[in-house]
Formats: sequence, structure tokens, C-alpha cells
Amino acid sequence: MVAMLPRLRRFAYALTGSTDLGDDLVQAACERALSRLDQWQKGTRLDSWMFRIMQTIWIDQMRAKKVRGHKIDLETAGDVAGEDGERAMEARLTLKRVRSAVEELPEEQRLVLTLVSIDGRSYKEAAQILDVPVGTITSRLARARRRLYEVAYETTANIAPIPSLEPNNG
Amino acid sequence: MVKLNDETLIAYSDGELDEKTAAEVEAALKDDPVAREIVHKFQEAARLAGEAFDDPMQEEVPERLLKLFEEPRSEEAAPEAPGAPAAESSNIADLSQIRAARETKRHTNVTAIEEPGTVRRFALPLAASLALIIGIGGGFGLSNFTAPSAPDVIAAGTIPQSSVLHAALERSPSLQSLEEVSGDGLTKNQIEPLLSFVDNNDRHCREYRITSSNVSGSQDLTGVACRGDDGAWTQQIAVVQEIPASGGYSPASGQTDSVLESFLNGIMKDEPLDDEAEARLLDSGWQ
Repeated sequence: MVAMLPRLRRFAYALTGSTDLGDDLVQAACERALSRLDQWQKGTRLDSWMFRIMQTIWIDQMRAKKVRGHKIDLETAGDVAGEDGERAMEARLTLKRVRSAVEELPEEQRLVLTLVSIDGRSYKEAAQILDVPVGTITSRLARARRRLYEVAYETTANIAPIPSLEPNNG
Repeated sequence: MVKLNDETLIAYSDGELDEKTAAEVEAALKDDPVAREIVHKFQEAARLAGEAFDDPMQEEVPERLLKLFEEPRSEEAAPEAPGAPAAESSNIADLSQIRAARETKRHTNVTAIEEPGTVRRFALPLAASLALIIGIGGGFGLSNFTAPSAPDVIAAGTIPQSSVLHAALERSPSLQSLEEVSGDGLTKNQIEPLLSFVDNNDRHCREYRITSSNVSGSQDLTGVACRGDDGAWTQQIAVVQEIPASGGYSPASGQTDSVLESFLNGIMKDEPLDDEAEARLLDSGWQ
């Protein structure tokens, strides 16, 4: 379990949008896991079980808060300007916008995106962790990735958004 | 013919389609520049998402998280790990003491390989220790063992009767090592049983360490093997770890110890055998 901490932290970082809040979540999940190891089924993947615990805690916390009173403030470029070339700065700003975009996604889309595109799970594994059909994973993932791409490059005028194949899609 | 839509294209971009469907999509994409652009941008979005949250993979894990798995140094003040029954914790403490005693003995008898201060002890509840082992052995695997300089954990198997390891397990008292030089004369192996015990299936088992060194450096393999009724020793677990040439602090040695300690606590029936009991078994051929 110690060995998977970096991955748990990455997952929590993406869910919560901050490494501090993420570490709180990892801590809560590890404590719960250690106290409930008898509930883990031998032969199943320990990491999947941990991710499941983590997303359950996260969802509970979200529900408890009901309304998420905060909007992520899109920080200004001030702190990244400097000796960096314009391109490096642009790349960092893009990643910052990506984080904001992930923050703003509906909870269920963010979970799928995090499991599949950040932790590298297969659709099937993500479906098992979240207890939804694979088809749901696919559609949530498509919506999330569309949104993310559009926000990431929204200020770059010469990059067109993802086109649609169907007239009323996206 | 497959219908190109967001769902198909995202699954295609993630390599999630079966071979036949993927081939159909591939063919359809040839005539559809818009769909090609969507695939490209879906992939770009995935790359961005991965990159945006990569920091934790590059950083050290914060101490406060590691502490959750770590036993306080002071035995008296040790709070229970969450939910860990008291009996299991005391079992771990006992083993730690025995190991500590053996380490002391070892350092007085042989040239020290490790710094005595590098042993980091983890107090996982019993079930946690099993989970760790099964998690590793169950195929989620070495590639996901991402902590920097994490030790490799290698698979189980029967130890050949002709090997020096077999001879050492069969006949060497704990903390006395046998030496072996490889066929090409370049690698030297020092093989040393560390302790003996009876497991939950009433088999005799031994923890051992093989230190291999050649010109480019050295590595430790620490393992546990159990003896079957047929006299064959079967490796239960082994952890391989590079020893830094500098002889300095190796974070992995703490992991090796914690992995093995957890494993031993999971399979040991009682405390390790004392020197007398072990000597009797060595004399009698483990009868």
C-alpha cells in the first residue's frame, strides 16, 4: 500500500484540485482501508479497492457540502512569468487551465477521466470501480475530454474546438 | 459498418475497441478528416490531463502519509494502528525485538552490510500485510510498484536441491553464511539463513539473505522458504534490493524489511525458533 501512495496522491490531486486536499483524502482513505481490511476480497486488486474507497469518501464529502461554494480562481500569469520562454509559460498556463477544467467537470465525469486518462485504467476496470456499465464510462469520458480540450485551448485563437459529427452534439 | 460518433472515437483513441471494430474505424477515418481531428484532440486531451496532475508522481510522499504505516519508535507509547486488534500488534512487536536482537548479533559477528539505523519498521495489521503480498503477487505487479528505488519482489518457486541455497537452508545455522562464486568467477554470493520458524501449516520455514556482489556493485535478496514433507524448499517470497555503492541510506531497505516483516507475521505460527530448537532440527534433518 505504501508503494501505491504516489498513484493514490495523483488520483486525489485530480479529484480535489489541490495536493493538500488530495493528501487529506489519501489519509482518510488509508485510515479507512486499514481499519476495514477484512472487507477486501483476496484475489481482487488492492489498488482498485483503494480507489473505490477514495472515490466513495470523496463523493460523501461532496454530498455533505451540497453546494460547492467556490469557483476555482483562474490565477493570473504573474507567478509563472519570468525567465521562461513564452512557449514554456504557455504550456504551464495550458496545464493550469486543464486543472481548472477538471475541477469544473461534473463529479461523475471527473472520476472517469481521472481513472482512465490520468491513472491509465481500462474502461472495464473503471466501470468496476465506479459500478457503472462500460457504455457509461465511454460517454462520460467523451464529454469530459471534449470539455477539457476546449478549456485548455480557449485562449489560443488559432486552435479550433473539437468539431462535432452530429449537429446538436456538444 | 461502424458508426463514427464520440463514443466510438474516444474508445478508438484509447485503444479500447476490439480488433475488428478498430479496423473498421480505421478504414472509416480515412475518408473522414473531421473524425480524424476528433480522435487527435481526444488523445491530446488525455495527454494534457495526465501531465496536469503528474506532480505527485515526481514528488516524495509526504511524511504524514507514510506515518500512517509506520510504527512509533517507542514501544510503550505506541498507539494502535486504526482497527488493528491488540494481539496482532504485540505479535509484530515481538518479531521486531527478535529481529533487532539478531541484527545486533549479526553486526558483531560479520561485516555489516547495512547501517543499523536504516531499518524502518512498519506496523501494518495482519490483514494488511497479507494484502500487500497478494497485491504484489496477484499481477498488479512490478510495473506499478512506482516508489523510487522500490525493491523488486520476485515470484515463488522450488529451490533446486543442487543449489548452495538449498544446502544453506538445510544445514547452516542462522547467521552463518555459505559462499559461492559464479561459474565465470565474477560474482560472489554470500548465503545466510536469518531465522527459522514454523508456519501456520506446520511446515518449517527459514528467512534468508543472499548478498551478491561483483565489480559493478551488489544486491541483496531477502527471502522466505518453507520445507515440504518431501524435503524440497519452496520459496514463498523474495525481495531484491540494490545496495548503494556509497553504503549510504537506502530507503528501499525499509521497504524490504516492512514487506518481509508483514509477510512473516502473516504466516508464522508462533515466535521464531530459538538457537537450540533450530540446532536440533539441523541435526535431525528437519524431522
